[in-house]
Amino acid sequence: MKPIAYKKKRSERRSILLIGCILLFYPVYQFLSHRIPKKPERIELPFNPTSTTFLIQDRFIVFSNPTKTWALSRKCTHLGCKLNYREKEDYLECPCHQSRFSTSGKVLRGPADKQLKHYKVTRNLDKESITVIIT
Amino acid sequence: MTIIRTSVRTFKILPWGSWSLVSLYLSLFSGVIVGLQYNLQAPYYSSASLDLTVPFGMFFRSLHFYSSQLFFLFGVAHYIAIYDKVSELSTEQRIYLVLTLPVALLLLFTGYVLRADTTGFSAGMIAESIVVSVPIFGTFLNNLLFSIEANGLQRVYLHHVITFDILFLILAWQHLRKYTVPPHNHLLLLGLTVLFCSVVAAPLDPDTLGQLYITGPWFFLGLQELLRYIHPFIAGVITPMALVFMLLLLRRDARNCKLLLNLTLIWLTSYGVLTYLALYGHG
Ligand code: FES
Repeated sequence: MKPIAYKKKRSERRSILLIGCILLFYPVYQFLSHRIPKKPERIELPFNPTSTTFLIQDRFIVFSNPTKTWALSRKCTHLGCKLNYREKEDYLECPCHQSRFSTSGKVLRGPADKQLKHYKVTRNLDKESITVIIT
Repeated sequence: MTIIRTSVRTFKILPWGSWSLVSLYLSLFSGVIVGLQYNLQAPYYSSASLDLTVPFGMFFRSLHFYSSQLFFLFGVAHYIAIYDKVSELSTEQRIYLVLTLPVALLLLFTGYVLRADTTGFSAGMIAESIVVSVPIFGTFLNNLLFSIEANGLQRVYLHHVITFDILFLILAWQHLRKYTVPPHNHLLLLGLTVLFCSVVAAPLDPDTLGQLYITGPWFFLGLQELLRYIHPFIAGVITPMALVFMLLLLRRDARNCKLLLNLTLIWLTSYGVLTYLALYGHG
């Protein structure tokens, strides 16, 4: 085969490959852009709201007062670091950029600007435990 | 003046490239060993167990950690030392070699995330938030690269042990295949690294509840600080890309060489200041 014809054929094959790759990108893009919704998780914990005021877990923290019990996500709404509860000061603080949140989840200090996610809490019949539903 | 000139000359003739490659050999070897005891289902537990219970686990983890850092640092020194010769490379080769820098950083970064202690976890979550902030392609890129919240460390692990390594080799292959660097020519470096790692453990945060102030991986600190003030897409994507872009254009015979060089130095100095602020600026 003549070199010019060979080169032409090679560049044609390359173009076909390139078009193939571009076409393949679309299904890959669609596939990876989809987020499978998380299955809600039910977590049962020993917690007596009359004698305990807070309980820290890996992903959330449970608070209670005489009238209600609630759970807050520990994921900072700025960039996702795990919040700590500062008991003496009674607020949650992020170790990454020191955003602060009240125990009801409201932003007290930025850079975070969204309030914390609340999880549903139910008191179990034994009155000694609760169930937190993580969504 | 003569001292400076001699130091520069010495810096330029030191075999940084070979040292970087030898450190890479060590990193790959120790990485395979560490990986054999690493458990993706219990990442922090297995990292801590490596240090506490596995015989020589602490040594191999340290060897993997420090040889990887050396690989990166020697690589950067190599680039600076041969900067005068960069213009001799073809544009394609230059692009490939400059791109090894972010890929090597991603390799280091994913290593930090995989140890899954407080620093690693936070770095991973921040990276995920940065990627998600990319307009239009955010979710796609996050599902491709991290997706830590939804899938744990599965993707990070995959990219650390396969994808980024292959990418690095593809990018550096044209350059690396020209040289042979037999490890027995660098016994001093090998010996010193092994000795150092047998006495100094790699960092791992203790499992305490509530670490109040986290400083991420050393190369990530400036970025972590910047994220305090500006939008994650600008701080975490545009800013690092600006450096890579400048490095792509930077060479001795470039039209705006001086300007580019100054911009690069300004970038690096600002990053240094931000790193300092992250370390000492918040009490
Ligand atoms: S991640 Fe919490 S303040 Fe930035």
